[in-house]
Amino acid sequence: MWLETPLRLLFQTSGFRLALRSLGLSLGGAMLVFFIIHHAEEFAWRGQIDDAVSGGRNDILSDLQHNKLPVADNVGLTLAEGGGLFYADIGTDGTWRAGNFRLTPALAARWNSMQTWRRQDGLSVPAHVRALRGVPQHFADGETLFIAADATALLRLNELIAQSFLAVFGIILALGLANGYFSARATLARVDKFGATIRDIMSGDLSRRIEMSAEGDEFDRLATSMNAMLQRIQELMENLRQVTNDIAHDLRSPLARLREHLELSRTRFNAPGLPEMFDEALAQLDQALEIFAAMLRIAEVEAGARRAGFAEVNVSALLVMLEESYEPSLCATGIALHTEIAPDLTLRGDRELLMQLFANLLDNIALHAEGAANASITAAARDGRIIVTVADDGSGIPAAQTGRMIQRFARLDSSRHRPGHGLGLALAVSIATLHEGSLALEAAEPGLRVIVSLPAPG
Amino acid sequence: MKLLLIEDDEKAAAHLREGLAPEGHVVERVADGRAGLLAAASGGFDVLIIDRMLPGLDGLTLLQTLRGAGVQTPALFLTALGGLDDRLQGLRAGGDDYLVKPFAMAELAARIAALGRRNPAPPQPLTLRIADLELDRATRTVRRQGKKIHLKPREYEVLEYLLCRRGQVVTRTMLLEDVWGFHFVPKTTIVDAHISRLRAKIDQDFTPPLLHTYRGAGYKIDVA
Repeated sequence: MWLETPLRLLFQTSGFRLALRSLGLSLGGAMLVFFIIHHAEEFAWRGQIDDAVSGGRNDILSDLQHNKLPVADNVGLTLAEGGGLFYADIGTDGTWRAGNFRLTPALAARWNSMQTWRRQDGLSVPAHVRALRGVPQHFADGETLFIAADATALLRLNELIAQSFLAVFGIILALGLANGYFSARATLARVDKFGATIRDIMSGDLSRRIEMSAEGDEFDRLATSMNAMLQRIQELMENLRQVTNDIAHDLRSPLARLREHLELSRTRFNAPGLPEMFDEALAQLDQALEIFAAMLRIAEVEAGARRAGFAEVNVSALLVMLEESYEPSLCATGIALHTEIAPDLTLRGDRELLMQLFANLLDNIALHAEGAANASITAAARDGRIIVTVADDGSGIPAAQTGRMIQRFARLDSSRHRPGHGLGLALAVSIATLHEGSLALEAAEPGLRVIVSLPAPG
Repeated sequence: MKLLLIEDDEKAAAHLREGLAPEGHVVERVADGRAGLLAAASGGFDVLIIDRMLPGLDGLTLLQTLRGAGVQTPALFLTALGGLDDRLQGLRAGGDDYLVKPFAMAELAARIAALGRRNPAPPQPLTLRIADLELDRATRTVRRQGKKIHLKPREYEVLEYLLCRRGQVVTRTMLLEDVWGFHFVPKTTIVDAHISRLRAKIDQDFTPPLLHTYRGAGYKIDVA
C-alpha cells in the first residue's frame, strides 16, 4: 500500500503521460513499418514459389497428355529428372501411390487451393523442409496430385521479421517507459520543491523564494514570475505591517499620555463628582487601549512567528487549571461550571496562546451568556485531534449569526451597549489557526457551543 | 528608594517622577542609552527603570551589557513594545520585570516595591508565617490557629505569593502574570473571585483579618 501512493503520483504527472503518448506513437510507427516490410517480402517470395509450382503442374499435365501413362508413373519420371519440387499422388481410395512427400488424409481433405502448410499440419517431408506451398490437382477419375515447393524460406522470413519486430518493440517500450519514469520523477521533484517553498511562505516566512535551475526551462519561467509576485507581496505586507504598527504606536502614545494626565489630575481635584468622571474617562480610555492590545496580539499571532517556539503542551492540565480559575467567578454570577476532561491530552503548541484561547471562550460565557445556569468544558481525543468544547445554556446566538461572530469587531448586540469589543473570538480563531486547528460555533439549544479542534500528532 | 529612570520622552519622565514622589522614591533620569549605561554602572541605585527604544543604545543591549559587567541591580523594562516575544526578549536580556505602556501608576509602584525588596533577595524559608497563619511549603498545607485549612491549588499559590511579599501591595496583574502565567487580562474578574474565596477561608472565622484589599491598587497580606 505504501508504495502505491508515490507510484500513482508519478503516473499522474503530465510528464509521464506525455512520455506514454509518444511511446504509443513510436510503437504504432514501428508496427506499421514492419507490417509493410512483411507484406512486400512475403508477396515477392510467394510469387516466386507460386510460379515454380504452376510451372511444375503445367509440365506434368502436358507429359500426361503426351504419354497417356498413369499419374504415378509420370510423377516417378518427373522426380527422376529432378527439379526440386515436391509431389504426392493420392489414389481414389486415399492411398499414397507416388511422390517424394506424404500427407495425412485430414490435410488432403483441407488442401484445396494454393496454400502453405507446415510440417506439423500433417506433412511427411525431409528434415530440412519445414513447410510446403502448393496446389492439389484433381483428375477425372478421383485421383489427386499435390504439387508443392519448399516454403521453408518464407517461414524463416516471417519468423525473422517477427523476432526483429519483438526486439524493436521491446527496446522502444523499455526506453519509452524509462524516459517517462525519469522525466516524471524530475518534474515531480521540481514541483515538490515549489510546493515545499510555498508551504514555508504560507507558514509565515515571506522572505523565501523558489529556487531556479540553471536550465532556464518552463519551470524557471514560472518560478521567475512567482518570485516577482512573492517579492511584491512581501513588500506590500511589510508596508501594511509598518503602517499598522505606526498607527497603533502613534495612537497609543497620545492615548497613554492622556491616561497619565487623567490619572494625575484625578488626585489633584476634590470637587464632588469629579473622581467618578475621571474614573469613567479612564475606563473609556482603557477600553480603547484594550482594542489596540487585542489587535496587535492578533497581528502577532497571524504573523506565525510564534510557531518557532512550539513545545509540548498538556491541554488537559491547562483546562483543569482554567476550570479552577474560572469556577469562582462563574459561580459568583450564578453559573455552575462542569468539566469532562480526558487526562493527558498533549499537543505541540504555544501554551500562553492556548490559555488565552480558552480563557477568551470562558470570558464570553461570563460576559455574554445571558440567563445561563450551567457551563461546561469537555475535552477528548478523536481521530488524531483534540476536540475541546466550551458550552453554556444561556441565550445563545441565532444560527444565522454564528458565522459572522468569528469576524473581527462582530457584535451580536448591534447597539453595542454590552461590554466587549468583538475581538475575543477573532483572536481565539487566529490562535486555533496558528495551531492548524479550527474553531466553530454551534447553537446548543439552549445556549452556545464552541468547538475547538486541534491536531495532536500521535 | 533611589531609582534610575532611563527614558527619552520628556513628558513621560516628568509624569513618572511626579507619580512616584508620593511613594517616597527619588528618581534620577537620563535621556539616552549611553548615559544610562554609565549611570547604572556607577551603582548606587535600588531599581533601574529602562525604556526599550532609546537613542544612542537600545534598552535591551544596555541591560545585557550591564548584566555582562556583573551589575545585578534589579531592572524593570517600561516600554510600548508589548508583544509576547518582546516580553521574553526583555526577561532574557536580564530584566527582572516587564511592564507595558500604558500602565497604572499603582501597578508600577507595586512592582518597584517588589523589586526593591529583592535587593538582595532574602532566602525564603520553608514555612511562611504571619500572625497565627502558617503555610508549609514542603507539604503545601495551610493552618490558622492550628486548624488545617483546605485550599485549592490556585488559592494556595495566591496565598504563597502574598506571603512572600508580606506587607507589600500586590496588583491583580502581578498575580495574573506570576500565579496564572497569563500575559493578558481576562475579562472575567478571576483574581477578585479567588481573593474572596481565600478571604472566606483564612479570615472569615478568625481575627485579626490578614488579607486586605486596596481599591484601584491590589491586595496585601499584613497583620495591621
